[in-house]
Amino acid sequence: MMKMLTVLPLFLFAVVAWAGQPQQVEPRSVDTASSTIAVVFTQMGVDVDATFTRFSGEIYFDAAAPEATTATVTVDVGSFDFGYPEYNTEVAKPTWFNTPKFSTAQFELTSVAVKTATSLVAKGQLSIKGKTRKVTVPVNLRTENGREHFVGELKINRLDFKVGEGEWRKTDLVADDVTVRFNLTTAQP
Amino acid sequence: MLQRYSLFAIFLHWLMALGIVLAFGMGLTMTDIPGITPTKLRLYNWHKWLGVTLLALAAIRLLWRLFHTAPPLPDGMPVWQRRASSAVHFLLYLLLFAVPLSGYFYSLAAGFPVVYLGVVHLPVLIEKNVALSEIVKDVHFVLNWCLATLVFAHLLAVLKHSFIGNDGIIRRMLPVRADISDQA
Repeated sequence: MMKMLTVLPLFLFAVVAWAGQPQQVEPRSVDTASSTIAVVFTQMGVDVDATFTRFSGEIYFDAAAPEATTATVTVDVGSFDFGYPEYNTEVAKPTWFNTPKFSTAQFELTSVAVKTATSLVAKGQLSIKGKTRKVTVPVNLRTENGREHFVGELKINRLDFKVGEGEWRKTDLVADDVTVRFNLTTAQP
Repeated sequence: MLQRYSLFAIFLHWLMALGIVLAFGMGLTMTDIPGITPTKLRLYNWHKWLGVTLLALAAIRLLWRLFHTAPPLPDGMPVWQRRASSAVHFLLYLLLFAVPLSGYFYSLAAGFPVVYLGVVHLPVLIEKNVALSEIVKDVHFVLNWCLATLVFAHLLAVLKHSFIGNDGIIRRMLPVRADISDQA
């Protein structure tokens, strides 16, 4: 009898602890087909955009425990698509992405702050062409049918990553400010 | 005494002639550059800025022409020459608009809005449509060669009138002393 009395509260505690666990325990992979990563840049005053068609990522987000959030996104830099072959060829060169040497760019989340149920602020490390920089980006979160949509615009300076060197350094040709527009949708649970 | 165009009209004529020759030259050069280079990017944008400027000047020129009468042609000029002159000039006016407009729409269809002098965002009248851009590019190309042909015909006529008959017609478009009545 005494043994049961000691075991019972432990048992009940275990049950309660298990019930209190967040539903999602595994990171969710980013569904590339439903996601986009685009980059907007400015040439002599004209805004133009391109997309990266190949990327992967894993996001684990728990609103109740934001400190447990993890997110990594890896972009295949060679998948840059401006819509014109000559441009795509140009950006793979050493003065731009130097794709043969640095084939991927990566974002690694370090922390996320939850402002509202739909508004987050993500901080992380962005690595492009062998250079890593801390970045902060507001993210809008929308959940539909169990899938999460993380949408935002990350503003970076291309010269921080030495993207566009030599004769392309001049910012009147291609502006330093570049916007990475992302819409990352996680796969079905 | 032969009447000539007003100084304003003469100025517009020569300014546009210079601009058109420059734009044409840039157009030929820039499309020959392989790949994507800073020079190519600059030339394309300067060419577009010049084109937009020429379009605005064409509008001013047309307005002037609508509110002023051109100086009369010499009395002895045969009717067929008067008609030929009218036809060529009419077509030239048409091309002064059609050429820059086709270029503008080509740029838009290709996905490159025109930002005049790098600061003034001009209206994006059509969306990016790469298939359409290929067609409009050809239109721009053909219209430019029509313009070049007509300008050549125009120059031939000027030479003819200067050396055969020597009716001094070229002085209609030169800032020489002339009897200017109100109409010019």
